[in-house]
Amino acid sequence: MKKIWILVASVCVPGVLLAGEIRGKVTCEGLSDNASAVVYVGKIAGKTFAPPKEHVTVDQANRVFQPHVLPVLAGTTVDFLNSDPYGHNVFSPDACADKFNLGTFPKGEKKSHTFHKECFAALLCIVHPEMEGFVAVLPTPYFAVTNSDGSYDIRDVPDGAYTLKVWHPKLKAAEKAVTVQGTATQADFRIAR
Amino acid sequence: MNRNLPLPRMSASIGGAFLALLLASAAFAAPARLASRRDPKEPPVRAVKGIHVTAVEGDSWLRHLGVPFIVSSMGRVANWGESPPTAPILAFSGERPDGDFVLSGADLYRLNCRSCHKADGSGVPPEINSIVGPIQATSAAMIRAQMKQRGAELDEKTVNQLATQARTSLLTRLQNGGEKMPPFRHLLPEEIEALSAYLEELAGIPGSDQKQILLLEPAPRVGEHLVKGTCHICHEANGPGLAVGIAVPEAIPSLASLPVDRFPYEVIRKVREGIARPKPMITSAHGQMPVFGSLTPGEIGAAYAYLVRYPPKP
Repeated sequence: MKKIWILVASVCVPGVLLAGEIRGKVTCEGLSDNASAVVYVGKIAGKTFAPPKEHVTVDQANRVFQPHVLPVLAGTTVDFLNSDPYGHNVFSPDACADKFNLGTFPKGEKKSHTFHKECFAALLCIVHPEMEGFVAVLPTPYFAVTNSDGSYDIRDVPDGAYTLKVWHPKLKAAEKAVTVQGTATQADFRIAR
Repeated sequence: MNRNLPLPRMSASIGGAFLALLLASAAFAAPARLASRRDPKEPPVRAVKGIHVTAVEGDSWLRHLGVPFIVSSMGRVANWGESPPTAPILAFSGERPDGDFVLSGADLYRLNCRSCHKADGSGVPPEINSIVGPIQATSAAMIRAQMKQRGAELDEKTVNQLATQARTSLLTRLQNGGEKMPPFRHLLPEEIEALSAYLEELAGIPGSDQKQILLLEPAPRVGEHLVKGTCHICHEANGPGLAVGIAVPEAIPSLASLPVDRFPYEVIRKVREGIARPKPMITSAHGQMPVFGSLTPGEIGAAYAYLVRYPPKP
């Protein structure tokens, strides 16, 4: 019996130790809150990730793209919903998102687009110019969006040395080197225009 | 004169005298004056063909939605405002319940859209949406300007595609209505053309002033616009009227009851000034009905005559 426990431990413990966490706080200078910054692990040399089969959703409700900023792994398909009782036209003017145009569609309908390339794609609705959202198409599945207090938490990051990057719709991007070794790694950013 | 108009049951002779007075007052503005009063830069007047006037029918739009009058802004916003600039044309168009009217896109907007979307098109969000954004989206020039402001570039094909999609969506909405917006199936293509041109002007789309057109329409059609586009939002087509002189809170008389219970002059005063009779008998307040100062007596007279000639259906 004892031998079995040793065997289980020897298989599981390294697995636990190999998955770490990166967390911290992003301070957005000059903005009323620190939300909507995307913190992500940059491209890892020699490593590719299969996109998820599950679609991710962006809703349009009360003339707002929800969520305002959606991070996805390159290759992910995003479903765009319309919960408003009038038409919305979702399109992106960005070439890296193929300048897609889903047309105008009414409440209850769903249209999809697959984001193949790395991109920070603006989402617009031609009918409601005040509407703006973003899909951050990223090279790795290790990402998080900051809360309004700026905090973020990227879980299940394998041990290793990475370039941690931050992107924000209105502020200059930044990056720093981080090393993950089993435990939580702290990485704070201060970004500005 | 006007043998089609049955008089209210109260007093046929008094009613006849008032109606004659109303028509006489409108009649001195003869159609011949139209030409001399119109600005030479104004577009020629097109006689609209294929008009098929039908009776108003069924529930009021608010009843259809299940929304109480008191909590909704529909049908009763910003009606105190000034008439649009083209309205003076109407005053000299020989308007009378049996004559023809010259309607601009602004007039069609005033009769069909304004009581919900306001004079400037801004509506009452979130219940009533602004029309400005959806109209601007139909213009390739506006889309290009918007993209330039964002620092984004779109090719011509995409710009035109976006504008076309927005236009199709808008026309579909006008035809079929929306969750809260009634359908405007009575509008003919030429009327939609005139209305669209005015909406573009309202939304500040460059070059829209060149697109304005004027339409010649018979009075019953004008009455149909006003009744279906404005009155029917709150008033049922059929149903009880109001007992004369007694204010019943929240009671809204049916459209069918109006020509039976009221003289034309009463309806005109009630609509334009908020007071049906020279001296309200029970209450001094205007009551709950909004005041539609931007409607002309001729238009309201045309609506009255329309209700008589095309009796509302259940």
